[in-house]
Amino acid sequence: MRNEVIILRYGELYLKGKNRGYFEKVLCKNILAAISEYTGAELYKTSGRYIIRGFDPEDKISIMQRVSKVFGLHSLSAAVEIPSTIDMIESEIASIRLSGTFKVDVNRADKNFIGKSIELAGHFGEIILNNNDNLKVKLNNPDHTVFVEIRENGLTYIYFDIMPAVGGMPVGTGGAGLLLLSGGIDSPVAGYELARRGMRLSALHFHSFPYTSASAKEKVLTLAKELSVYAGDFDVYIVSFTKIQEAIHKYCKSEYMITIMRRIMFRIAERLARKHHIQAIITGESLAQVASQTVESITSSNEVIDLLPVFRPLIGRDKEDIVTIARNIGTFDTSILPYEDCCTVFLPKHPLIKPDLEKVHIEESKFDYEALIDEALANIEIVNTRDID
Amino acid sequence: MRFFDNASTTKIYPEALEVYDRASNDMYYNPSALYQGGVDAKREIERARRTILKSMGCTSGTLIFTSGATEADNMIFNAFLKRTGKILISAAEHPAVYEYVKANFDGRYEIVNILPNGLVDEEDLKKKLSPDVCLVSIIHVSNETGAINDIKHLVEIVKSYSKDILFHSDGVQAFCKVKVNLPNLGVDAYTISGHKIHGPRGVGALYVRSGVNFRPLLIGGGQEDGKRSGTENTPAILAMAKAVEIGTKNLASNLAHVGKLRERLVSGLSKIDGVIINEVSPYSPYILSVIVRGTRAETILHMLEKYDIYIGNGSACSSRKRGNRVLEAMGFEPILCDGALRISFSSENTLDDVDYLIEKLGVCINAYRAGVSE
Repeated sequence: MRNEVIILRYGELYLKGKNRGYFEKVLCKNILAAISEYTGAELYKTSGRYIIRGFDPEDKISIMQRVSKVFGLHSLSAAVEIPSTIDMIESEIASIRLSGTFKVDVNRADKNFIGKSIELAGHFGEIILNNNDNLKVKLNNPDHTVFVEIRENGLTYIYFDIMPAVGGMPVGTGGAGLLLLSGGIDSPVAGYELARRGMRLSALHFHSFPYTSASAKEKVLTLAKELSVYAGDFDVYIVSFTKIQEAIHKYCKSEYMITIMRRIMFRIAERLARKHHIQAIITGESLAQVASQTVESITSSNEVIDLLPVFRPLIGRDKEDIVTIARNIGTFDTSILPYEDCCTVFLPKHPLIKPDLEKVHIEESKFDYEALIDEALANIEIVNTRDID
Repeated sequence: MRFFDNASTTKIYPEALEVYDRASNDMYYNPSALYQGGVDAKREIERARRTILKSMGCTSGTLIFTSGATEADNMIFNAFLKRTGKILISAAEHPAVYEYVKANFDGRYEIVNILPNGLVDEEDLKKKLSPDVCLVSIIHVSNETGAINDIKHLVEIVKSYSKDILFHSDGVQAFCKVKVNLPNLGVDAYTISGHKIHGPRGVGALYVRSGVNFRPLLIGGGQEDGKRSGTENTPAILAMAKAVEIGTKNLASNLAHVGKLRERLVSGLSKIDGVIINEVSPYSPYILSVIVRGTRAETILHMLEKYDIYIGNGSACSSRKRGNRVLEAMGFEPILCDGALRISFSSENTLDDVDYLIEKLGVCINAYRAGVSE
């Protein structure tokens, strides 16, 4: 019996204590969801790690790339799995072809297996040397390391590389958050950051058709889909903001457009979140990046929030850092597609940088926003990322 | 659906679709193959080539089939990549010319100005002709405004300066819409597209006059006499030829019909406050450029969608970029260009469609100004 398998390792730190079983269960569910599209791939749990077996060997690299994005996993390896008999191991070792320098690293977790780790490493190394011409042993920083893990379950794993995974906490162990998802660079990164801490996401997008295009909405759904590779599938709530923007434009002084818009967006977000038992609001705000992201503007937005915490994971980040993350997680190229998003519609020439709360209240009282919020929430459209092609 | 974005693409003629379908089913053999099926496919392609050349008035010269007009445009410039010498293009060129030249001929090209009437500035062209110019490319009918350049006259200017300068014209919005006779125009190379003339997408062609040296863009199996490798797209080529056949036959009557549509539209829109008709002259009636002062074209476009009307904003090929390079070159303020609409006809539009468009455009503009979208 010889299987091509993938070994998945998860961090030990958060697995101490009473929550261990729960964390493992959630992680397992998330890995299963990630590999569900691969025919034959099955997940097995062994001590302190998971093993994926049964897949088509041609899918191996694709599965590894996919699984490396599951939060909670710290590293993975493509390995050969064989029964722990000396004959089987020797024969597998003899088939290895290498050039350059190498060492053998034996981990004998199965203490009943004959021989000490260091002796076995020497023995296996000799077999490899005998079968390869241009190869030398080098214990410090060799070109190749042959890992031989002889496990308690009677199986041995042989592999060459340890590929880092994304780390973090399993999505679903950190509560639920509603991400305000615009078409920009920042909000998908904010969602990524909190999903990485285990938060299960939902997203809320405001569109202003016909002031923004159908393509702008498609772009946001594409971003959500890209984010779901890490965060797992989630619901995107799409709210039409057109009438609200038109009303602000009609009734309020133009410089208050953004301030009041943000306040109404936050009101809608909180009402939606509480209705769906979502415990927090997430935004991509970064201090001083634009007019609505000054401390005064944030105070004005926060004022309308009744209960829920508003998480702003990017608040202290430079734009460059955010762009780097967006590139790494694959949302950047979508984010920079130049469709109008709803924040650029009705843009005042001089938005307020430091809104005065009392004046904001006066402007806001000029129209019945509650009725418009009710109407917007009543006409909400919900799209799950699993239904996005 | 009332479709007024025919400069971006057109609906395929049912007859062309039928040819496409038949060729896909019955003539799927590789035209390079030596068995009968391949030979038949090759023969049909040659027949299509002759049909199209004939419709351009050509009895000699080469027609190279490509994946579309972008490839055909790129191809003619690619032939000059490894030569020395300068290239002149007009400010009104399609991105398939403009962006390719910008990306590949750094320091080796100059832009010939256009006039407020949308035409190439002849005086500027004369001024920019110099002994090191080797290629001039000027769009025949502007895809943004419908302005028809007098290619025959421009060729004369260039050739009287030097017979060695090659003259190319992008004829995508001209061919099968206005009269095109290449020997009469005197061009050395000319680009056409399938899907702008009710043919299929994924096919176009570059005409090259006999005796013009040519360097291929795609190199491989040596199809198209080595000038454009890649297995021939038989169904698309045959269907394009069918569309050309129909388009050529009905050219005069279509032109008269579309002329009436444009006239009705201009007269209707002139009555709406704040609408600027971008008058160019001479013009192809197929394209009308309009600016609605103080609006954003995209919003008007979406508002019209609610009435099942599709129009274009600027050129669909460049709608992902802000502003409008061509209108700005004509002298329009960038802020005005934000409100630039492109209304483009096909022979299938009716006067009733136009009346409906005039009415609804008026409604949308008023709603926009009042700040209510519904």
